[in-house]
Amino acid sequence: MQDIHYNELIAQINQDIAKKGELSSLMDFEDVKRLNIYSTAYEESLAEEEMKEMHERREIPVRPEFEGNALVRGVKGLIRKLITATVIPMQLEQNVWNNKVVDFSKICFGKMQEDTERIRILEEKVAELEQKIQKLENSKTENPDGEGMV
Amino acid sequence: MKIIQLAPGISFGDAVGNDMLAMKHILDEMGIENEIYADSIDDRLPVGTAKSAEQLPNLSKEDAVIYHMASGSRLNYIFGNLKCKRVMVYHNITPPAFFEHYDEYAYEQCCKGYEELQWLADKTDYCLAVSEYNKQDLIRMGFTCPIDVLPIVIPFEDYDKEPAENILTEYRDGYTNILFVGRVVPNKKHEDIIRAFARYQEYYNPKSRLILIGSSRKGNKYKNRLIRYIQQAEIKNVVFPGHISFKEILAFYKVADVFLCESEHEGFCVPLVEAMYLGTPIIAYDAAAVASTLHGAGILMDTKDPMITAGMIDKLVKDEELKQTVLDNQKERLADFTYEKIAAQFKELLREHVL
Repeated sequence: MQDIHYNELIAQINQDIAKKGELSSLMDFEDVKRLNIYSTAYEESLAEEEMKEMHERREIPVRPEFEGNALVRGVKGLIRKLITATVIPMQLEQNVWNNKVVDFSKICFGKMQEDTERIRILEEKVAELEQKIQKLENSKTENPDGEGMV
Repeated sequence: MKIIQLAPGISFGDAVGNDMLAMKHILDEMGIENEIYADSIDDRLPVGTAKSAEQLPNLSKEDAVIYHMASGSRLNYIFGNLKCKRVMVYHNITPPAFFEHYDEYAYEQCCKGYEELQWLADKTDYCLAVSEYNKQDLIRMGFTCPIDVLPIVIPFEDYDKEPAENILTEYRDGYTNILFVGRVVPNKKHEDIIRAFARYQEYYNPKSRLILIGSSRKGNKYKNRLIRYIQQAEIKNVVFPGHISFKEILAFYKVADVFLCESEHEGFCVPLVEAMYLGTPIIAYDAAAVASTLHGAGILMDTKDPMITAGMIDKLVKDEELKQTVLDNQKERLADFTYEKIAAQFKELLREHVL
């Protein structure tokens, strides 16, 4: 094997970098995870198998007329993740249901110490979301079967 | 005597599957009666390549089972309770922590794998580890039987096939192509490749492209987050070709100027050897088995600083003398992975420990 003179190469690279002055900031991957964990969790919760497991693991009350609705199933998955989440406060960004936008951006929780309190507030949010879903259901023109979220 | 190769699954074209088929070929050459059994058998393999593990025959004390271990499986317990000679080929298990926030199933499988590996520590007569790193893993898990290192057998004749012409034409367009090949899973650290590429593109070469080849399951959370990262950090020219043919993979190696690996866990890392064979100069971060697979070839980095990695990509692309040295070293290392050399080693180890 021929020597590639690694240390010399690194020294040259460092000199070269020094000449470039102050570097621009580069977003950290961990920041993206934090910013998006709940909105991606919503999208990711659409996987059929995972949804099935969620149903088995945790019962979140949803009125019977909404059972089987893909959006409600997604919300349930989201709520489960929120309940088990350790990172709060959190902000949920917009999620898209076909061409209709369900705006979760207003859901923002302050730091809460007790799980019971957290669940109570979450249940209120579920009720709010269900109302939004009902409105969407009432105006379903583009998506008659209520399935097929992105 | 007969030798049975056993594995939870045998797939078409993956490292474990190729290793099993190569071992079968060597056992056939030695005139030893042998068969492959697995729980899951890839449909793309020729009919009769392997039988269902449910049909595992009765074995005498003189027979031997070569078990290919890489995950949690019911077969770990079946192997551990066999009364014949028990030989394990250890391909490594990814540390579960990598999957913790992304894939519950993979996380649990890896946890189970480690528990079962530990259970097998005093129930295995002989081990073959595909790298020195894997050997040390076995020792850490409490294995006291003899352990030898035998690299994975790679069917190089497959790599002499014609690469896909459409990829060669499309990607030989004056852009500098940075390539990584590997499943889109968190231990491969695609985010670190993307960060280094972002710096290279911004500070050294805007006319550059990152190609990330590798399979991923539908709904892969890690890949979704990588895509979000690329979008939010506004990094341009990052390509996930998705499911592509072998000829297309060959073509991507051919058009690549640098193979960049930032993986933090590899039991061997077959793509490094593929890059060596196909003449793509390698830059790789020193983690797990990467250093032992390179063994002085490529450029082994002791830092993940994206700016320094970007600088190294620039050096390798622009400095013809450096590039030639790297390629010469890779060619020299490749000689250690020839079928003839590994087959001879395997035969010798079998005679010493199994036959």
